Amino acid sequence: MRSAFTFIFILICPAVFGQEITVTDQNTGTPIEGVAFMFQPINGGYSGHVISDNQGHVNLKAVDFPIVIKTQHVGYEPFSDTLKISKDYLIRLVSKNVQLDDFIVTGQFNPQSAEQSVFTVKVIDQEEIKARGAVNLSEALSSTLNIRSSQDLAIGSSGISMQGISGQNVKILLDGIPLVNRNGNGNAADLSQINLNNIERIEIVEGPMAVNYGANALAGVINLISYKDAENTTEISVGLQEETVGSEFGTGEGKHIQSIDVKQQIANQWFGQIGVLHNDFKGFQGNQIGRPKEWNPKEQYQANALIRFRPKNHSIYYRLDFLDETINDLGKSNNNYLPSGENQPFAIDEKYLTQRAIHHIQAEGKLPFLNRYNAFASYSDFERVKSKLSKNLVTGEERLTTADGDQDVSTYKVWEFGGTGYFAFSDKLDLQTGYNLSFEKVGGGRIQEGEQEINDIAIYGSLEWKVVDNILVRPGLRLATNSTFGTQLIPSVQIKKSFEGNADLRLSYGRGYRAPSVRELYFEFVDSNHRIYGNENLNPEFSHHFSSNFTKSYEVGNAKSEAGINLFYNTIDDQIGIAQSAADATATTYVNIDKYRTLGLGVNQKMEWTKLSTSIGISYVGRYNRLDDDQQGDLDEFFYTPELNGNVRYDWTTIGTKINVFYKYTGALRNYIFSENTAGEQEVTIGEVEGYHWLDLTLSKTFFTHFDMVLGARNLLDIQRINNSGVSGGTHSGGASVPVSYGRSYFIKLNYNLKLK
Amino acid sequence: MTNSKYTLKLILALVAIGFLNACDAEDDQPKVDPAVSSAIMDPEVGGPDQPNQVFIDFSSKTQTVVNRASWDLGFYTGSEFRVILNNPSSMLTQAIDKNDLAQVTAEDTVGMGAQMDIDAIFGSLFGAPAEWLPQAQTWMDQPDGSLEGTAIAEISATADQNKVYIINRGKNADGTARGWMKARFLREGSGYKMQYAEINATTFSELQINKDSDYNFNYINFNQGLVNVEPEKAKWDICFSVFTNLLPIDATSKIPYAYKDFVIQNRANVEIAEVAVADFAYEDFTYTNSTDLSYSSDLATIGSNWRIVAQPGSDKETGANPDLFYVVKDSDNNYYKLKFTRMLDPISGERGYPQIQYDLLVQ
Repeated sequence: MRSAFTFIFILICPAVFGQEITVTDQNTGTPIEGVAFMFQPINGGYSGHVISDNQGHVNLKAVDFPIVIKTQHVGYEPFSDTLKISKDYLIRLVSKNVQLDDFIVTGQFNPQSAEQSVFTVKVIDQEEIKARGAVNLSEALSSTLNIRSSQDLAIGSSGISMQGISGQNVKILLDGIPLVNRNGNGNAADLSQINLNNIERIEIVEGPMAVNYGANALAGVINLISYKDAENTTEISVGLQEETVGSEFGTGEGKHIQSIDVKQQIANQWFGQIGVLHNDFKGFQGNQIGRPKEWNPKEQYQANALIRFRPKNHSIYYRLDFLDETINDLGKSNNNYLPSGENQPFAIDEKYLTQRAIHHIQAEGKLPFLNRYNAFASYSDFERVKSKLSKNLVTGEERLTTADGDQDVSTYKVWEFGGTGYFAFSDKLDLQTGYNLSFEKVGGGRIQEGEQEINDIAIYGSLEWKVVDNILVRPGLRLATNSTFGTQLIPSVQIKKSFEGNADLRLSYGRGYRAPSVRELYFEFVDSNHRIYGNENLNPEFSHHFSSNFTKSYEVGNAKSEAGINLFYNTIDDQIGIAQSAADATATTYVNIDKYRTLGLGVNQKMEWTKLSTSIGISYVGRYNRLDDDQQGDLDEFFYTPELNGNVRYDWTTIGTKINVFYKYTGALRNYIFSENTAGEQEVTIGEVEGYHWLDLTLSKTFFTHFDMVLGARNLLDIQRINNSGVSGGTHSGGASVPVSYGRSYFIKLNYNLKLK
Repeated sequence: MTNSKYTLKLILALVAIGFLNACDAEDDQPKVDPAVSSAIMDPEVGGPDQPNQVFIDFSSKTQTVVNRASWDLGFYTGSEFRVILNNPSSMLTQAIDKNDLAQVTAEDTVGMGAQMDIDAIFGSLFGAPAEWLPQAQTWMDQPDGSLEGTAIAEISATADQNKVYIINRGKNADGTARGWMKARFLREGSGYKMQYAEINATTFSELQINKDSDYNFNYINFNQGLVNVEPEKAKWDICFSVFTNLLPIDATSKIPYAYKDFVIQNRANVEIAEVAVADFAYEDFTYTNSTDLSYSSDLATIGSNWRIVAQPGSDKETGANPDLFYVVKDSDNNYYKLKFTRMLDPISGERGYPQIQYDLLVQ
């Protein structure tokens, strides 16, 4: 999170020189000679680099604005920015030791630093992904505040909640396109199916981004940004990661990961990339005996390829992402006595095969009537085949079982088309408009008629208006019409005010909505004890989100510091719950009946010295207690859960090693339950899912120029399961403990990188 | 590994012995207890819909299979005058404040369809708390089998005090409704008289039911009159059946809920104790061990404890519970150890294909 260490040192303002950029030292004001400027027109076209002269001057007359510039100089921090129009600029560079932001794109009109965004954007950059040895998104988010993860051992998936709101409301995007999964188009994702090879950074925006991204982002958006360029002509990276699973390791145990990635500038306007990852998790036996495992083995292959063409004023790319995943759930041995008296034990095994292919074409650049455009088309094809087999453990014979629901194919196909146009009316007023078409086709055994379709068409627009120099206001509006629930008008407004002394205040209001899922609309499950039907007349769940964020950067001695405070409040109405059908008392269905709220307060503090950087954050998230609604008595409306995180990074230059520590405390989740007291009376008590501490430690080192090595220990405190006392009686309750991890594990990651100029 | 191989050999040896003895058991030797050892039995529950009640007699190694929708009511043959409902079909009933069947019309049953129905009761959990829900458990016979816990009150010798009952006949195995009836129960000499009719009928039929004390209950079907259901009370020990049990849904309420793969025991002198494998291995368990156990005559002692059904998201697996076995004391004071070896069909994986193993504990 380099944004953490960022300061608003750089001021850009018109200077007296004619169409020139002047670079000076931020402290002394003296011109800097020999600064390399790399420039890249946003709309495509000629890119290149120039060096500042002894006056600190650079001439960019021949270039098509707007451009993205990056500077390089031995004594100064690199600086990058977007220069919108051709005029004079003064750039003041900061002497080394202060790092700067990466650019972010989520919700932005143009790529820019998180600093400048009206949204509060968290970035997990490449350096942090590497330092964690994170292979998938679940591992990368393991110490992020306001995000709580959960594991489903039965089907091997990993989910999250954000701001106390369930994962159905967290939208996960790959380069702005919803990443389709079994349960949703971007939302309710299985994080363990999202590998991070070829992901440059992760951008996280809390709060609904409904104006830009539509439904299902009530809690927030996680946008994965892939590499689309390389600094060298050829870059080859070969990776090997060996990891223990708890204390289990070996050829048939542990986790074995191999990857290869090649990036190549093909011709002056062409760039290509191809990568393959094999992630072989052998499962975790744990306390299980015999065939079953506590964590089921899972093998993933992921491949991606990109080809990019960059003619003048345009940039067009095609990207393919492919995932193949196999999960094997081996059952325990059951006795079976034949009439002969012989015992031929059998087991019921389950297998889940998932394939996902995403095709994505995107074009961006400049048109005569638009400062910048972006258009995309994507097709995502998801399929999961669930098979259940009976296996005779004596003869080895396997057969598909025949009980209702044993064999199932879930499919999710999505076509998305979208585009945005950006006009800069003036220095003070920018406009972005866009459209989005989405066609979803969902199939599966428990969906009425086996397959259903949902179509959604939307147009939207946002203004960024600099009311006065230090106040930026961004109102937005989305008009969407959906084939199942009609037309919605979604507003939002963000305000950013900058203060003297590197301080910013951001206020945000957004309306969010979650579209009813296909399951909620078209589910059909009937057996002797269940009669559950979807409800085609469901409305979306609507939310109001309010948040504020205040950030201030300052110096303490020679330490650069940043402190922030955040507040949020979400209120969701018409939440979808299961209810008795009004038409048929013997059936249950989905109805818009519930309400839900969350609120939270967070503070964070970052400090950076030359070699040492630290950050600490605390948040306190309140979750609405539904029982408050329908029970008499004095029950608390909210239950609060604390979270605490801390990262330490030390650059031990004498031995060329970086040391990273990642820590998070996830507090107890409480809820009301019914239980029996010692007198045998029923009463309402408070149950809780225990809190837990998570600690990772890694060491990273580069040697022989081409090799990177990371040694790490994950989950040093060896957390496996946490107690859950918040369970009422009944046949449909979960267990008394919640799985978190398979325990402390160690990994070594080795990367060979070849870079050819 | 060596340990489990040893166990496997032991089981195979026991099975072989059991097979030989089972042949002996088929000889017709009434009232003599066969020395059954490691008998294996596949109760014919009938597959996933579990249409059958299967009465099992350990001593004769026999099973009696009866369709659970073949009857409606059971009339107690002991000294009390009690009537039980067809619990395996989730039958429910309540009295109304009338004692003349001819006076009962559809108006007397308004609202019952949305309440006195096993699916409606479950459905009501999803929504505003239903005021009537706590009463739902009084519409069924208590699962422990106590005569005081029947939904139909004891039949009074004073005819006028016997009210009309509205009866939801529950569901057939395929899930279809069996319909509604109205009925009234009277004493008739040493037996019973039942008056019954369809809800809207203005006339009614009468049926005489005598007490035959060789059986626990004498059964009737509204359509066919007297029917045979359960074997003579000395000739069965346990019964596999779908069973409407009480499901605790929260601290304040339990509701009737149909459990599949349920095992009940004979109320006539059969007692059962549960044993944890952690305390005794099934193979090592002998008659001497059986004397320290506490035995229960609750009909649902075994109930659903013998099996595990995986819930979504749990790491449990559907199948027989390997951690428990049972000791059954039958009406002739034989002690059997009983193990549930299988719950699912070994090929189709479907429920409704259990298998049991039992051994006579030699005194």
